[in-house]
Amino acid sequence: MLKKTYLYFDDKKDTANAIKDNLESDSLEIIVKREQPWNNILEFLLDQECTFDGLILDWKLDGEDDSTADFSSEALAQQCRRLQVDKVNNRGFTKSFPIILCSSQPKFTTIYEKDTTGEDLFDRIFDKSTLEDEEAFLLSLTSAYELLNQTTNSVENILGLEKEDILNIDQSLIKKISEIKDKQPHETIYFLLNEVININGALVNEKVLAARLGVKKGSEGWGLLLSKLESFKYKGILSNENRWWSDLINDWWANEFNGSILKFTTSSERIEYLENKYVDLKDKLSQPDLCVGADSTEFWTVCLGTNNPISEIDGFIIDKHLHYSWQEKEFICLDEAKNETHRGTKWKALLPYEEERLKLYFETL
Amino acid sequence: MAKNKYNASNIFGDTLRMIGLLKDIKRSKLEIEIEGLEALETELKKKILDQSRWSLQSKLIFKNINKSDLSIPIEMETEIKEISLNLKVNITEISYLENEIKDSIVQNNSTKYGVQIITYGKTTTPNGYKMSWHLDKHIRSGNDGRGKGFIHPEYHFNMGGFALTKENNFNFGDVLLIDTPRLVQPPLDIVLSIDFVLKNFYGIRVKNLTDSNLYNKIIFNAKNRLWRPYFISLADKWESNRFNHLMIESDYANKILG
Repeated sequence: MLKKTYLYFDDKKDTANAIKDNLESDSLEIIVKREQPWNNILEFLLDQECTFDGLILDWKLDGEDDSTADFSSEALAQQCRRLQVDKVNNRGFTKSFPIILCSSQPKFTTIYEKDTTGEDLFDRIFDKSTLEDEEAFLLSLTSAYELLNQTTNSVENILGLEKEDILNIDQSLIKKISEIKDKQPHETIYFLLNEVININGALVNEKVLAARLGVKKGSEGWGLLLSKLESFKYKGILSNENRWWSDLINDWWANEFNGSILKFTTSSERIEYLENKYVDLKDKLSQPDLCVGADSTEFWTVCLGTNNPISEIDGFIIDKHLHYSWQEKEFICLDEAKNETHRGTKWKALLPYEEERLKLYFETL
Repeated sequence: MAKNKYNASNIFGDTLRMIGLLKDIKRSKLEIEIEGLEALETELKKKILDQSRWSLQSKLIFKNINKSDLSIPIEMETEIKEISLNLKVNITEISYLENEIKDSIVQNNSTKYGVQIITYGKTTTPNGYKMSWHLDKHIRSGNDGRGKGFIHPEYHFNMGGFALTKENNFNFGDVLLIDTPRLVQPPLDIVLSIDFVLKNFYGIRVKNLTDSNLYNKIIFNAKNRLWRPYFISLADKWESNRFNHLMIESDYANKILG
């Protein structure tokens, strides 16, 4: 594989170099640059386009005394996005490329939440403390742009699905992808990351998958079970983090176990089915524990705060607007709802009627 | 050629209208919350490939059931914080002609019919109180030899069943949980089991809905499809000459009576 290069603009070279050291590998190169005045930086990017595959921008390029930036990172990103599709003054980029925003400012994410106007210019926004763990993501992002920069793309290629599997996925998702696939690559990528990959529903992560199979993630046989589900794994673009197609898992279950419906079965039934089918899993799968206040072992999701597996009837629903039919509601368990340990970071509020339900649990005996 | 009395579009359309009504009660100030409607809606909006055979699965959660509407043993009542109910329906049907009186619900090795109602008395500890009722269609093969000769009406409700007895850690207390008696009950589909839950757990609180014309039209259609054959075959057992114009499945009545 060819080495990928990100240009990283930051007014604080020391922090940037520390991140560079942690991020770089045989496949990823980070070139740290100080900011420059608007005209110079644009000139530089246009001249050097063939030398980089993506940009990382610090949120505030004018933070140092000797800073020369006379623009905001959003403005620069906006101009780059424009030059990726169109020429300005006869000059433009020949292709689209990733643009990442990062910052080390405390409360950066909170400030950014207040002003989200520039949000969708960037592929992802990171706190600098977490950026250094994102090598795999940065690489999959450049591959995603490479694929989408081709003039014609198929839904199958983007989602990494066989033609016959496409029919078994929520058709509104398929329709949406075919609508946007030939627009700016950035648009498809932004959509996939925010509406498909990082939200439960069409795809589920490993924790949710374990809950749905009724198996404790730490079980001796978990890895072995996962290897049997390889064909339901998401293999499309940006598949650096593991996800599985929930529709394919549900269909497989019904076909494999005489029409049994995964969602309707208890954890012990699920394990019984699995251990009967796969001799090598015998006695190697254990049930997740029930959370405080939980009664149902028909585990379906995990608590957004504690990551404990819960069934939908035992959870409290988070107040979050869902944009598409394939997206699923998010829940927290009773403990998290009462103690609010992760409130403000992982979740903000419960649905109003769920708040009312929660009050019942505070009444004294 | 004679026309099928019902097809998948009729059933899906009626179920979607029912969901619409239930969403209305969510929006009203009735404080009745039902979860799972969106998932069912998505299911119902999928392309129908076969009009004469349809399959539906739904899992709905009913919240805000009034504790005070139920007679809960007094020692438990303070411990129980709320009552929630899980309604699961798994049904596959085939359509018949207007003059055919047959059981439309499919059951075989790979297709099972079932309605399960689990009521949870939720406490602040794991494993609170639960109660499960299961409406089954009698499985005529694979008998494990237990309860030989026991009556098995074609459609029967029984208490307990898998949900309770399969839980290893369930505290059985002094309740004797067995799978008999099996009570005769006409079949329920998604629409009729929602009606069953609303009328058994919310009563007067949903009277505006259950009295409404649209609601009753939907219920009428479902009963016409599932209960008309059920009761005509029964009536035919005693008054056979009255139904000469209909083609009645010969042993449906005997199966119903067990």
